[in-house]
Amino acid sequence: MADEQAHPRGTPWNALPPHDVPPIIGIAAATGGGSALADFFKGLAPATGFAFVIADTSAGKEGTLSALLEDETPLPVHQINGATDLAADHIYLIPAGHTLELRQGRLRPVGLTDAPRKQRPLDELLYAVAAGQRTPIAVVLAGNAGAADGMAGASAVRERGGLLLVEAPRAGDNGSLSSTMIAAGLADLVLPARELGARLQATVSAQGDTPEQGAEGAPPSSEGAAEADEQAVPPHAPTPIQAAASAAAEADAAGGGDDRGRIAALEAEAARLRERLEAATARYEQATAELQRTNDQLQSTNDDYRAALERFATLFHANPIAVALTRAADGLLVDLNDAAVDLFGYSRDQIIGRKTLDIAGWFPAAKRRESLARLREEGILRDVEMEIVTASNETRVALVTAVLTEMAETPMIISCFVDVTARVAAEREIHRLASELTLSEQAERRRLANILHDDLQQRLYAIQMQLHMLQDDLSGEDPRSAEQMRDVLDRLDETNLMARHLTVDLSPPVLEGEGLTEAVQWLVTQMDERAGLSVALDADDSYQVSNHDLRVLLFQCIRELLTNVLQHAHIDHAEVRLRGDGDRLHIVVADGGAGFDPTGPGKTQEGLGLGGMKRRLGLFGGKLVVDSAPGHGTRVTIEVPLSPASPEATRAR
Amino acid sequence: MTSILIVEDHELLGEILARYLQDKGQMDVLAVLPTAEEALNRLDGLAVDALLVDVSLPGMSGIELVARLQQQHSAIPCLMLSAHADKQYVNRARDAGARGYVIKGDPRLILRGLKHVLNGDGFFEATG
Repeated sequence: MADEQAHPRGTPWNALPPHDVPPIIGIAAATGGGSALADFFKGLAPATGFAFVIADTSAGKEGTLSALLEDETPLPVHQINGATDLAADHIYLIPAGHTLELRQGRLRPVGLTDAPRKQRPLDELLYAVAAGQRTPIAVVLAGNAGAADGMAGASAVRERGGLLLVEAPRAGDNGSLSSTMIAAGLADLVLPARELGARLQATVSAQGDTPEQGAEGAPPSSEGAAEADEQAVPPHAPTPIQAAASAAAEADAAGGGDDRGRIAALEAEAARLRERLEAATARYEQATAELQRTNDQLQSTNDDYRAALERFATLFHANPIAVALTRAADGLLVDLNDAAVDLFGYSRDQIIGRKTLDIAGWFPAAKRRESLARLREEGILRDVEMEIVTASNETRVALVTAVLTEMAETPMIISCFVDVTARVAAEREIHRLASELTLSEQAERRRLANILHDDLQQRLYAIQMQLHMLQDDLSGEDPRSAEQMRDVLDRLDETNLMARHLTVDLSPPVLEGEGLTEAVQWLVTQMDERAGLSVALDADDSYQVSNHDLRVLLFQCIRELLTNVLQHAHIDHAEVRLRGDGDRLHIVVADGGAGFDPTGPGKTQEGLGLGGMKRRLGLFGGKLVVDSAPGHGTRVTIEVPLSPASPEATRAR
Repeated sequence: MTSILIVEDHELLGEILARYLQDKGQMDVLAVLPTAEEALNRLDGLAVDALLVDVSLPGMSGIELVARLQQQHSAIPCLMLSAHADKQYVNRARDAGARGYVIKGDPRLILRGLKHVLNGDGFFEATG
């Protein structure tokens, strides 16, 4: 019968037709429980209407239990290999190592469990019985179960309100499954195996939960099976560990059908999760604290930044020096302070947001580009004199200091303008006066020299000639008078010589209509003849100093420098070099004499007349550089444009 | 009698010179002219044996006058008269064609110089 109902493997489970479902008795017989099984079935009535499912714990000795039972009971014994509809008064042996599913009286080995040493065949059977019918009924026979196999399943049966009949422990049976269950208070009825079999029917009927089973000999009705079917929970998970994942859902659906093992596993899982949760909570709290600290620091930094910005804004706007803030990339004017508004004469609204190159006269474009290039290269520009044109078209002079910086990750330029218009005007006036003084001095010297040469000297010569004529007339007469005449003529000679030198010193006649080289050549000769200073002159003809004032000035400078050699160098030779360089003239006056410290007190250079020379040369756009050291001679270099603008024009620049 | 033309812009000195040359040198001073330009203008109408020329003259210089005369009247010897004793002046005067160069002051030296240049000799005495 059972064989007829056994469906071939592979038949769809839910496609099977319904059949009469008998009450199912799960029998857990631990290892060594063969005799107990025999006793149980011997006590059993011939036709109880129950289907018996036994977990075969014979561990690999397939057929051993089957043979034993066939000897001891008339009931047909089946070894279950696939899904099987259970029939009343049949015995079914289930193989070890499988999880089971019992549904609508159909028993199905589902999947292989873990490794053999972890297999719990009794638990698997009892789970299936507990979950597979409304009132689970299980019989636990004596024998030794490994690792308390059967305890969790028995608990599940009891929790589902089922019946658990336990064989009374036999003599010397210590630590058996049955004695453990009895000790755990799980047993509903404890009797020797044979009596359990004999009283099975009565006990089940007394439970009254399965009326069909209660009717002696009557097979359970399909109605009862249907009811059981309605109560059936979804198949339990294959193992307790696997069950943990869906425990909650199953618990809801099964209405408390979970077993203790799964609960224990769930509790273990829950404990593990609690630990993880606590650890995660601790980490979260730590991270939160860290975040808070970072946030506090950020807030503090932010406050500092705001305070710095405010200080900057205060400094910017209250600064008496004109300050403008421009974007480096395009010169867009971002802000300017009140002093800048006053200086440039534009209101903020008129120019903020415009590019400085677009603002008429803000700066000469070429000068600005040159300054920008330097600023980008060096990061800072200090005290660059620039002309600016104000809104009212007035030209002013400012000393500009600019710094390249970054604000909100944008390269910016902070430019400060110090209005030096008045100072520059005063300086220009000083230059003009100095130049006038120089030119006046030169003119005066020339005028005096002319008077000396053109008149006074000539008069002296005339007197000298007249005296000579008188001397001729007096010859042969009073010797004393003749002697006095000679004295007078000698003194007149000396006077004439002095007048000639004075004339030359005041204004070298050679400068009149002559080139600078000739004048210097004359000077060199004079130095040699009159003072004993030997000067090596090295001059080419590649230049021409057409400006008379400049020619006079350069001559005077060279003469003054050679006079310095004469008076301070303690040496009797020097050299002068004149070289044209396109539009400039380079003059070097050098000696290998005593030298001096050019960085010493200003008086030293002033005493040597170098300061005055610098100032006068500056009027013509020239410059003078002194290179000297005590004991190492002196080398003075003059560089001057050959065609300078007039001193007036130079001053205006 | 030797005819001399003096080119000297200082009137007093020119007058003394003329008197000295006439009195002591037995020479005929045809004229004392104050500028080189005037000398050039007057020279064509005068029979001059020698010229006494001041180096420094207003306008054209004495040296330039000598240079011009060398082109137009190369036979007339010139003695330069100067307050400048520089060699440069002396050399430039020589280069321009002057026969002699003397410093103003000693009239005997001037007379000696004139005699030398009239004789066809050179006379360059500039010291001091």
